Amino acid sequence: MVSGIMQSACDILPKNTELEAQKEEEEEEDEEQKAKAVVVVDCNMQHQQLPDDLAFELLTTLSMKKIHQFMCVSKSWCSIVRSPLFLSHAYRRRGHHHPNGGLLVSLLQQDESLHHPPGSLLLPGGARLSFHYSPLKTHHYFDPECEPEPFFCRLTVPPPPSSSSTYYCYEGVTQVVDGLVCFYDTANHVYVSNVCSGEIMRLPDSELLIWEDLVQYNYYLGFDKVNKVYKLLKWSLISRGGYVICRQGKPRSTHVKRFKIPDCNSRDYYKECEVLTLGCGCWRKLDVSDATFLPLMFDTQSFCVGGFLYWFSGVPELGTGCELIAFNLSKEKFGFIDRSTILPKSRSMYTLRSHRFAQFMGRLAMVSSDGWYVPSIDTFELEELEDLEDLEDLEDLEDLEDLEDLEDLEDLEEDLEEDLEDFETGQYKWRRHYINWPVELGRCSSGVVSVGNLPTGEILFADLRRSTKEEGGSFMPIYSFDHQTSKFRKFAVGQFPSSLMLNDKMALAVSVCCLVEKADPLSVLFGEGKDISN
Amino acid sequence: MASKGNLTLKSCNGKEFIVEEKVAVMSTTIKNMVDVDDSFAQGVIPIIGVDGKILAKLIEYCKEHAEADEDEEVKSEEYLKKFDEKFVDELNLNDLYDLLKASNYLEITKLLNLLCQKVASMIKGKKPEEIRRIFNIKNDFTPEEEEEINRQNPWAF
Repeated sequence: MVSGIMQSACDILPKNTELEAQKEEEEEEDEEQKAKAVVVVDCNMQHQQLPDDLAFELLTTLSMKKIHQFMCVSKSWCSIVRSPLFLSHAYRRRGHHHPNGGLLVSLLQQDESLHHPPGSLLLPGGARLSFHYSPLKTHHYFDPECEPEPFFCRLTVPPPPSSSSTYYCYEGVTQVVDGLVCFYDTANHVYVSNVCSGEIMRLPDSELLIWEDLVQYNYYLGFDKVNKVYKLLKWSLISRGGYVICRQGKPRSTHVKRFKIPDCNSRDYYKECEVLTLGCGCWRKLDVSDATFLPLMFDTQSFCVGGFLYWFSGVPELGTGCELIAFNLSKEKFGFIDRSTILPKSRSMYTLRSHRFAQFMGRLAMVSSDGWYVPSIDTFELEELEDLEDLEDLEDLEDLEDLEDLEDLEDLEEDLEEDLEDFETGQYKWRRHYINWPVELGRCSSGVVSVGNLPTGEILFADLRRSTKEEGGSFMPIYSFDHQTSKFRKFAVGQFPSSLMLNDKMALAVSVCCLVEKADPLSVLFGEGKDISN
Repeated sequence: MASKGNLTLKSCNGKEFIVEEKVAVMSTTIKNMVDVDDSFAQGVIPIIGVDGKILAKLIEYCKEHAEADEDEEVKSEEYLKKFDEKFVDELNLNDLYDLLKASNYLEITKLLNLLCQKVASMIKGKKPEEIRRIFNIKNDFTPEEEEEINRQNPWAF
């Protein structure tokens, strides 16, 4: 029946390739159509054009693959798919299929086609910022119907406006918090985007903009649970003297990467911290004169959990102390955590990155995979893994131990305050947890990293570099770990597109998180600033 | 003049249909009209751009569903499902297309979703080129622009 209908559609068109037998059958219909065509004209109904709102409805019912294939049908179809609300609408429509959300990869890439000013060294800033998404599907073997949708580009951020004389590019991108993400460019402009709706909004400029001095800064985004607002934190380190601490090529500054790490109390530097409550006016300065740590941090993202922001500060390559900073988002106060017990002795940036932040029962956890250094990991059997004592070096998961009696929780704010005091006075300690890898993951666990949390709290693990072709499908397995039952659940997402190689040298910043569709568009959340997405 | 509780709908080619109000208000557009202004409920509601054949189809669908909403026992979910299947299967593409536009215009959400699913199932195996032919859409991209779009989503092809 379906094909019959399709052929009758083709009949309207000049090209006619139908079989004779079918033709006969359809001639009747043809006549009917002609008769109706007169009526249609009488009714002034534009028979030819599919209205955009109908095309919108139609497209949302298709698979992501088809949606993207049909983008090239016409400019209006293309703009429908690219319109801010289309994808969230399409996903909400099939929302019940993806209660677990999906994996979101934010990728800051250097653009190969980019022309740098002659004589300058390559700018370390990124030119292309994009977000790629694939829904998490419960994994079933031998079920082609459940084949996960491939990763597709959920949002491509247009490059920051540049003039002919000055070239700007994106420098960094924050953690994705509830579908919101901030990114900033070399012109000191900062933007917020709702990845789900595709909206982009320029945020107020921070006051601090000193080109003569060398400035290094980083932005951190978090959710203040107490006041129910999103806050963006900006740390700057400003050089007044002969030291060069920049890593970015800024206008009027050298592009050369040189470091000299100052003493914490050196007069040649001053540090500044500003905070912006999203949707509420302008940046506020925080008093950080007595902060005893250097806000030096290289391309490390913060992690927001339980009303706190955490991030690493320091440059391990240069031998500075590497500290874990905690920031209470409601009180706007700092504390720091001695991380010597958890970070490996090696000071390479790589090992620092092998420790990933995760949320564990609403608290911070560091997940490491030292499996890299364990040579014969594939010989472990599941039964052997039950003896945790033997596994010290294999995989561990640690979280902050709460010294207060958990049964005795008072209100949230007090709880947070106690946490902060704990950090300040050193009254905390790390508690180590172990995870027994499922056998199939263990075989090649060298690349296994945590990739965020499910909405229900389970930590997700995946081997991002693993080729999944070997399993006969085009998917990537993702495992969620339930610490209460110590059981893994297997999910799958689509394969990373080859253009999204995570080890690509053009990739400057890559981060992965679990994204759940969030309905509130930016205009509702913040309602100020200018949308530059169009 | 329609009796109380009934509405008269008039197609663009002059055919009048007397329907129960509960059937007519399956259309959000009609419901809004009736809610705002009582005089609509007395007179004839012209349905612009929808001919008698399509309007009859719409009413057939709304009637089944309105009755099902009222009495679940007589018309079970299963019955409705079968009805829906039969309903869309009997349509030729032109009617489907007209119904789709009419249900969009009249905001009959259930029917719109049903028809969208149907059309989607018909076009999902098609190439962009075929889509353009089916919906009579002009390809307004230059070859370079089209290539650029395909380049951005290489996996889709």
